[in-house]
Amino acid sequence: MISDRTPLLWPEAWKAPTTLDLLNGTVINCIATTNKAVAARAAESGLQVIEPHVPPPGVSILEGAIAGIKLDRFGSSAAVSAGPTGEPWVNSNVWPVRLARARKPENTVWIRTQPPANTGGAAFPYSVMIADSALTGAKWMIALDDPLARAIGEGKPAALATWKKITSTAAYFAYRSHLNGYEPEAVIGIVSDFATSSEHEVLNLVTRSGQQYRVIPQERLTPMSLAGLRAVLAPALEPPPAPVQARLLEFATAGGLLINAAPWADVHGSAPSKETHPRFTVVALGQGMIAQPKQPMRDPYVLANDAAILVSHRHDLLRFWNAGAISAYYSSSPDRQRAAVQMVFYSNRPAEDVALRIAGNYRTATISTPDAPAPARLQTEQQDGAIEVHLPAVAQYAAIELEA
Amino acid sequence: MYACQYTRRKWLKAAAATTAWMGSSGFSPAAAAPATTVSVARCPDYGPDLVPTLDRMFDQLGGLGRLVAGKTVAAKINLTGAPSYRLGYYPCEDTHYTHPKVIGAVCYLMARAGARRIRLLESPWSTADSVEEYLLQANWEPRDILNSAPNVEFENTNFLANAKKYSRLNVPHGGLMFPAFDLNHSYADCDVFVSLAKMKEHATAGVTLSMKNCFGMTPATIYGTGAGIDEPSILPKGGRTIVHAGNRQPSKSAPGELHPESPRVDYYRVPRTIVDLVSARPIDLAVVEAVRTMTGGEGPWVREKLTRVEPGVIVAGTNCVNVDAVCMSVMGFDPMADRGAPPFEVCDSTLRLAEDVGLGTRDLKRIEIAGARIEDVRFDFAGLRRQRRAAKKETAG
Repeated sequence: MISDRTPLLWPEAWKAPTTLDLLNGTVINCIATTNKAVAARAAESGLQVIEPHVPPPGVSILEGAIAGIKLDRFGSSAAVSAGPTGEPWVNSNVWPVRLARARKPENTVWIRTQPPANTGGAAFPYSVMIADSALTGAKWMIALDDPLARAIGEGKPAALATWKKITSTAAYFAYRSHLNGYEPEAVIGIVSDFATSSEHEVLNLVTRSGQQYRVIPQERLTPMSLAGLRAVLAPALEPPPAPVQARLLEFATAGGLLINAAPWADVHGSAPSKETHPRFTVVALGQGMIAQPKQPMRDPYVLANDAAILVSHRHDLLRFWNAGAISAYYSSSPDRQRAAVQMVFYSNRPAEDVALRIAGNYRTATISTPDAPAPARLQTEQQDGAIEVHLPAVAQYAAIELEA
Repeated sequence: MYACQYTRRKWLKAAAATTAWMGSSGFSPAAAAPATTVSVARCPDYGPDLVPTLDRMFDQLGGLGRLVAGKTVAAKINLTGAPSYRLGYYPCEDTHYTHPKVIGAVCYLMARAGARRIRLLESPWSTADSVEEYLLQANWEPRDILNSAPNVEFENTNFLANAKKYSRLNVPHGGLMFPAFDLNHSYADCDVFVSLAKMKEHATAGVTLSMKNCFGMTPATIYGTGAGIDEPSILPKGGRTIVHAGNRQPSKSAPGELHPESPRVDYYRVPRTIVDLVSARPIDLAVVEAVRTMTGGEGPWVREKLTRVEPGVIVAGTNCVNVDAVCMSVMGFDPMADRGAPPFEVCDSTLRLAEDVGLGTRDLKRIEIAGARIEDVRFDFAGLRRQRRAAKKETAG
């Protein structure tokens, strides 16, 4: 189910019902508030009014993170926090959204996160929050920091300009919801009950590694859920239940690669594989392979990276250059005639000279962004089984739509 | 941009101390430094003429067979920076990576000349993954190189890899910065060592040619940002801050600096470390390609006006200092330049330091050139550098 609602967490600073006029001409059509006067007037105006902590039917609300590059505070200055490779660490809601959608595909996902205490009135953090949620089909419940909300309420021009930017960004995504019906393209499936924070972190870090993956809750595992995948990662440190194991072993026997975070007992390959890895023993199993760790893989970063290497970057669906800190999501229409690559750039400077190789055979590619919503044709360079596109300078989000 | 905190007085004092030490240790003066033949060739693209061009160049050097027949050859290639960095939209190999066609052609010719095993070495940025996986991320096809000849293989030398221990390579002249290095075994377990470099300017060292290419031999597990304090770290992380900045010593398991009181300035430290490295692991064959390359720096991250260019030239020889001297002249720079003159406006000349320790001469009058004349293949990096600096001055003014 695709929701057409664009929700706003009503700011406490907006006490007068007349502030509802700020929503005129925007796509915001649902507010979450406990202010009875505002709620009454909103309902009269045809807006949906909900309790802030009660999700409406068909909606899952996640308490999310503030999306963006993580900063370490040192007194009055801020420094970028680094991840295991020295690259900037990014907080993102992409993986929780994907997990929530995989667990309950019939629901729309909303993210409820307050913005940072004071955004300084800039639109940038809001654009990132909206885009990071929208990348995989969720909606951020637009929430304003108090100083900005007050300034908007007082009609200050700079604040109104930020408000306009926030609502126009939200409008862009509201009118492009057809992409939410696309299915993820993936080389690797991640199968688990996702009961532990370690498995969540694996999802997070596989996202950060740029791998295109499919989240498969083990309770929903069917043979069809593994269709088209090259590999499956079982990230739990406890082996899954026997029926799940059996299904995953079937996948490997039929030609896939099964990567386990912990050794499974009684799994014996038919022959050693030529593949070598410092932390995994790879053995042939039927027509495929199984990679069993020499020790349980307790470091989610190492596991996520090793999974990418075991699958091999040869099979990368997306390869980026000059993109910086980014999340990307590659999906296809059900008839596979159209596809989209959506990108969120977390830097507050426009990404320039970004090049992208997309695996697949496509004839045309167009790009749109919240700042330039009309699709513009991109030059494509045909490669072997892929195309390369060169992006113009883009701010926080861009969608490339492809036709086969 | 790096802000130099080291005074000129301190710098000169340190440099004088080094010179005095070199004198007392009985070094030969530069005049005695070896001079060999250097081959220069025009090569306008990476097409079918590449193999015959390189073949001819190696013949001009006396033939590859005498060097590699029956031997294990290790070749250090240049894949500086992450594979996800490009200059504009250009592929890495068109600007700052040694081109895969050159790598493949050299492998082919070495195998044809009888090389028993060819090992391609690099310490890719901040990773212990295989070089093949690194290349795939740059949009290369590793099989094109692996299939260019029998028995070609890659090894990531940024960490211990499959060896049981690091190999200690001593600096025969005692060292300017380090007396010895602990390196991946590949640099010791070879009969012949080749530097397969790209011709570029360099933000810290002025130029990066066959000698500077070898800076990447140092494993980040010992000399990098995330190096272990007592022992090497298991996995490499970040760049070689320890060598650049001297903010700490390498892992204690490896030999420390000779002169911890020396300047903590990369313009001083990097050229000396390079000389120590190429002394510890001598280069038997240097090939520097600039069929396509870039001006302004060594990679897209340098904050300069960077331009992709097509000089269409390759330089090769068996003495790395001689080769780098010829390359500098091809680039329009004076190989006899010292600190203060382009491209060494702020750094010491690696060539001068290498000559001083007797590795080879940089004096073009002593180097025999085979093949094309330098004047005929010159591509004016120096002129472009002057223009950039003048424009910068104008903007600043």
